[in-house]
Amino acid sequence: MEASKDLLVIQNLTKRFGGLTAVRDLSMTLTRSGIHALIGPNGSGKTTTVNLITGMLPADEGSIIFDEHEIRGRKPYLIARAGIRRTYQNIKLFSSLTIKENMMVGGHSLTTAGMVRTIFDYKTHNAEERMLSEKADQILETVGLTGVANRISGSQPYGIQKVSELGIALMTDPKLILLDEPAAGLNPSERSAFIDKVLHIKDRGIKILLIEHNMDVVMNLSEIITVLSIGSKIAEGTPSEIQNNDDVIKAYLGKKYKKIG
Amino acid sequence: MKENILQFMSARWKALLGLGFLILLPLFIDSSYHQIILNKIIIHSIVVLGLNFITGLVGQLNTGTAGMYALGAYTSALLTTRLGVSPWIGLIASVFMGILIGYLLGYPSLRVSGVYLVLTTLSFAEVVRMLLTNMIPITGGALGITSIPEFTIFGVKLGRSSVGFYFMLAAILVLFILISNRLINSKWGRAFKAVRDNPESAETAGIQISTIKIGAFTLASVFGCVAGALYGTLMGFISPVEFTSLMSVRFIMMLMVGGIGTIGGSIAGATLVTLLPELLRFMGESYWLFFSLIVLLSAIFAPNGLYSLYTFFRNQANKYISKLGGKASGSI
Amino acid sequence: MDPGQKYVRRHNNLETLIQLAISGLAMGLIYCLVAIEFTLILNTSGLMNFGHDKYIMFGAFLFGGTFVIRLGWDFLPSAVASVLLMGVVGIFIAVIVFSPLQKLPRVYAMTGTMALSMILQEATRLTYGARSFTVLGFLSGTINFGFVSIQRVYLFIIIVTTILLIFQNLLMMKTKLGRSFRAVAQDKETSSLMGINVNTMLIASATMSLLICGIIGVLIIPVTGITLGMSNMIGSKGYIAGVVGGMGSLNGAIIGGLVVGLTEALFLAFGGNPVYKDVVSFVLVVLFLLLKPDGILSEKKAAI
Repeated sequence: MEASKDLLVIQNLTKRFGGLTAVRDLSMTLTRSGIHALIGPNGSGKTTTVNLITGMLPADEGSIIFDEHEIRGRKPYLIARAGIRRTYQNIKLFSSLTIKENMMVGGHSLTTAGMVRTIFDYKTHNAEERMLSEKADQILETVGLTGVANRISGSQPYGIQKVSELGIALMTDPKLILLDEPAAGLNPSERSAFIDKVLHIKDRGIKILLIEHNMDVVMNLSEIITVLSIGSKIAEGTPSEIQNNDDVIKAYLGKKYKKIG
Repeated sequence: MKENILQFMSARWKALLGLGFLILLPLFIDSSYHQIILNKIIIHSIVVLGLNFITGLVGQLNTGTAGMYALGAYTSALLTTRLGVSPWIGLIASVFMGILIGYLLGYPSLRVSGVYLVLTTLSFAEVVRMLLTNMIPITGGALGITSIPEFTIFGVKLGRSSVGFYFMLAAILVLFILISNRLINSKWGRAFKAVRDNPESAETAGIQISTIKIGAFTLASVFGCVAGALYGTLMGFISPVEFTSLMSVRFIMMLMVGGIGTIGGSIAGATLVTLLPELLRFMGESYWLFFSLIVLLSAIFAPNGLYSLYTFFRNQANKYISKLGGKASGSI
Repeated sequence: MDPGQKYVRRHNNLETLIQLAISGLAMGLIYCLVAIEFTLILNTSGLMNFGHDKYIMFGAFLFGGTFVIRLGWDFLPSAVASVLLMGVVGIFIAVIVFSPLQKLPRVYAMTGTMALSMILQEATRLTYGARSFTVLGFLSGTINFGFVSIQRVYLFIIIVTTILLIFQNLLMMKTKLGRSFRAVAQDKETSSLMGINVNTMLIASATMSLLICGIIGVLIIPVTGITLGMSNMIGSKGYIAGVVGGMGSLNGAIIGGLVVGLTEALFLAFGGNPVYKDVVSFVLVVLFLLLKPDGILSEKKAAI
């Protein structure tokens, strides 16, 4: 294994909830660039896996090596600062803040001044605020939300909230972004706009782990797909390999995507 | 661009107006009784400004404010009466007491997610009152501490109901307002609100939740202790009997009634609740019952208190002004 | 305290130890009940019934002030009447206050319950006056078991609370109501999808909670007297029992209450100054939060 090539190496990851094993002996590898999809029927362990990677849930067994460092057992905020960001299936914005303020919160960990310094050191405080503000403006432009920057995020339509989450995740220039069902709840035009943004992020060299139910999105966007079923990996490969994989079809896809010939 | 200038001006104008009001206020006060009430309003405002950080912005209920207030008062009072130290030193000591409480009580209570702060601050305030009442050799027990000395500036003694003391308190209030303003309009203010709105998301955004929570709590503690020290010098006499859970609840109601999260709301709430016994004097014994009823009703129907009234009128005024101006222009 | 008295206090003979064990057990069981009454409401509505101690106080005032003193009833009918009345109050409060409050963000909801408890306290103060009083001859005196004389009130508390705990346990485990409650406590959304009326559960829990508060209020009168602040400490310790046993767990409430009572008794048995007894539980909760915040049973993280 050429260690320097791989961004995230998961080995034998296991998570149990009482009698139920949500993730069983999962091993998977993410390269440094591109889009890797994680799919599977409901309850197959996809979101649990994301929660394990981000540190929100403690793993029972296995290892998670990010950028050649073991991150299993580390606190979530440290994992985030190390370069892994995520979006949420049911949006988790800071609803009382404006869209731009949400972004600036996303970049909070880029600053270093403590509370006392913020109160008394006029210069440092202003410099940090300016830095966060400019960065937020950049990201707003990237995701196309400059027009709604000063609107309260909680009152914005679903599509805008979804894109905001993407922007928040970009603030710290992460190496890996975990997108948890980004297409859910979007209408077709919102979806294709979102996909464009995801592709743009990929082009910037950020690795994306995509959890998604919408097969069009998955098949068109990803280079590699890992398939889970009841907590275990049942297949892994390119979109065409997965579409032709009998196990996958049996567990999940249905005949629609089986290529003929 | 124009909008920005007007907003900038409006913040300045607001501050200048407030300052002018503060400076001219003593002219309208005719008795030392009223002067003391005014001084109390200022001291209470300081408490509520602090409480606003942990309960208003971070959304964690602090039910032990009376305990912080008491410890601040006693720290300063003991140092000045037993050791003969200047009240200024007492004030600084109360800052350190606030920091101590913030870390010692805040760390276990806020380290994990959940409603533990409500419980620990509740017990904390009860224990403080019990200890102050029973550690008689040190604290004088239920009899309290008397003859707490007044502040002296450049050799001039500031009497309890003197205009000089009022200006000193007002200056300290302005200082705390500036500090609050700086914090609220900074990454900390955003972080406080983010932790309240969505702690999980804040954590995966790289924010260390416990630090934010403990920080907000320590601010509340420091503000509360300083206010307590000032209270001691104002009254000249303190006793554990007054620092009850009712007092803690009163401070929370000041915050709620005024509108959580804002500086103006905190001061408005402190003013209203402190003046309440005077305003509702006609109700005799039942005024607190009446007030609690109002609080309950507004918690259910109008949670944002007086501040939502203020924003309502402000929005109406803005609409009126833009109609007058024709094109869309700034705001009040 | 003169040296002679100190000597007697520190000289822990068997009688004192047994008395401490009994009173520790009795108070521990009281703390269990307090923890249970607030956990009931917590589990069905997510509401922390802040000021729950005022309901205990109100129950005591109803019993002593209204029924026994003002109306002149005997103890048993007074107790039954005041407890039942508390239950009725519970229904009202659940419908009028808890139901709307539970939908609000936590801070507003808790302020609401706080305001409610203030209303209760003030109403009590205005109705009965601010002076404290007590009920003469109610569970007073001691019973002699050979060389040990035990205070009647503690024995009574132990018997009544044990019966109550067994009854409550049977209710939770064997009845439909109990099963519905446990379902809602685990997962409110799924329970409601499965046909359980969550709002009815809230009303039922609040009623049960206030019934228990009424019983607690009556039981502790010989220990604390009837005053406005009689239940402050007990209320805090109920919360501490909840944390120690595991927030949100009814079994945890029982274990937590017993641990708090036991710890206090141990403190006294080892010669601790009774005046500082209340600090013990505070230290206990801080230790638990530092070392084992999920509590002894760790069944459920804090429901909110």
